[in-house]
Amino acid sequence: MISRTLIRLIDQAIVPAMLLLCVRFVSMVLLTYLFGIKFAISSGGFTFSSKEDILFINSYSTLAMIVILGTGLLYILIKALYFHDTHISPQLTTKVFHHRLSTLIQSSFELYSQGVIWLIYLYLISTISLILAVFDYVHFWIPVVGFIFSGVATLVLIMDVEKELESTEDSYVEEESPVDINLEAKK
Amino acid sequence: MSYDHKKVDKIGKVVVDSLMLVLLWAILILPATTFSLFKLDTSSQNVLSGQDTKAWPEITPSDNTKSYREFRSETGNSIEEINPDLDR
Repeated sequence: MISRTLIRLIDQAIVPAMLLLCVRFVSMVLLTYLFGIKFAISSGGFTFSSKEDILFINSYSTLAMIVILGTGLLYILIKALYFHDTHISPQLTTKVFHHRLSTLIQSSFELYSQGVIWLIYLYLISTISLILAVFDYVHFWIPVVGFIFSGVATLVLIMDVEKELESTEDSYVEEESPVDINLEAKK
Repeated sequence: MSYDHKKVDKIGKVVVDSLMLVLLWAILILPATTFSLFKLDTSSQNVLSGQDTKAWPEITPSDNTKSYREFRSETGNSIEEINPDLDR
């Protein structure tokens, strides 16, 4: 069971990792190009001539990463809240199948593994940017934005887990009730 | 010699799970490693004081009639500042 969960988590972690790397490099190149900031590529990485340039590039490329993570999490949370197979409404199910978007309906295992991975990325990026903000390498409001996103996303995910637990309890009650009726009928 | 297959299975599972955990951690930390890619160019700056390491700009004497000492004194930098041993 642990192996299955781990394989699933590894599987879910690859796409956001690649996406974040791309966002980091693309945003850095775009920012340097738009604002005319000069840099050199060496074996150690990207070398800038002033600390202000590093502060600017680091801050806004981190913000781009946080925004991408926030967008991805929003998509996962919308799927979890409205298209979760355990509590999707029959009307919405009909609409989804009518528009041939049945891939939106996912199980708890798929949704929670995705949600957990994207949340871990958001917390990790926010924590590292907080450490860098202490040493004045990132603007201080960047980790604040990251932690606000993480907090809201965690809260919404917990709300969905509660909804899931409620629906599971309801299904148990529904399964048990016919047995009770049969027992009464026997008496 | 007989092996307890259940025990071997358990050890194998633990090893595989821990390897997978390491792999997961490596994937998770990958985007965060980009933070260490940005560096400040310290080749022309003194990192400790923030001053230029070249205390005086390089001067190439253009007037061959003047001595090095005369040329230096014209630029405002006293000879003691450049090399105190020269005056001794």
